[in-house]
Amino acid sequence: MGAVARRYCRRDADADDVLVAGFFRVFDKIDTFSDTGSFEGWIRRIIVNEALMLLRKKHALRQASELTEVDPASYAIPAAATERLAEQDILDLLDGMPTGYRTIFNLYVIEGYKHREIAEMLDISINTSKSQLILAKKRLRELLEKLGYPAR
Amino acid sequence: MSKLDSFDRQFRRTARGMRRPAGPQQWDRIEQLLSRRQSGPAAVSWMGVRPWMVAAVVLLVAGFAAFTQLPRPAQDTVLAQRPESVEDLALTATTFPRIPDYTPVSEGRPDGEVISRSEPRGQLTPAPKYRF
Repeated sequence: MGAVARRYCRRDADADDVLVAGFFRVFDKIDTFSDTGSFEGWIRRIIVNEALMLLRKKHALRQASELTEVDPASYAIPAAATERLAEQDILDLLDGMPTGYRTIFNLYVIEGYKHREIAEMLDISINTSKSQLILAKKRLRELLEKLGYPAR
Repeated sequence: MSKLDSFDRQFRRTARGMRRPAGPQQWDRIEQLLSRRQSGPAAVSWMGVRPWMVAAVVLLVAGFAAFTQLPRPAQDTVLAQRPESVEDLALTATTFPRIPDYTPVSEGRPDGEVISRSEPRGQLTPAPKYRF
């Protein structure tokens, strides 16, 4: 779960705070856990929520732009780019993105949330969520090229 | 589940495989938070001031205020009754019957009463208007 917190927070100290607050909430609310889902998934959701709360507190999610024209081909990245992607490279790639891009990329690509759910969680429109994901992938592609991975 | 392309799936797989275990400091902080919660709200302090201290100060101030605001019956009644008694005396003094001034009785008055100056003291009786 430390890695989950670190993916959302650029600073290690912030990730530690999220981890501590998240696990405190886990132990505090453990009696509310129902057996319908996985325990790991429940903890992961709590950690993600804590991370989002911290980002909101730091006003890191305020800037969000919306694209009018979306061309998915412009941000497609070949799968070969990730075949030899190291863990540290992933952190560097995520840290290289603005907070809004990184948050939505994390929520959509890694956590598996839908744009509707992300829009509700971040109090933004669905189109803003989609736009931020496109911009995140564009930025990711540029960063991959800088790191020497085949991004085209 | 969101629609992911092959890059997203690969990225997700690698990212989810990352591990960053919590250090002893983080576990200590979690333990502190949990122990603070278990000791209840009475243990919560702000700048070293405990809730029971605040309650004690409030009680002391309220008690002092109530003590100073209480009426003092003994002093108030004495002070209040003094002028009333003076006023009563003043009001009733005008209605008192005045005692007529003394006038010596002369022998042989025209109302017909006989006044003797030579009878012995034991046989004398006061005139009717002076009897009780």
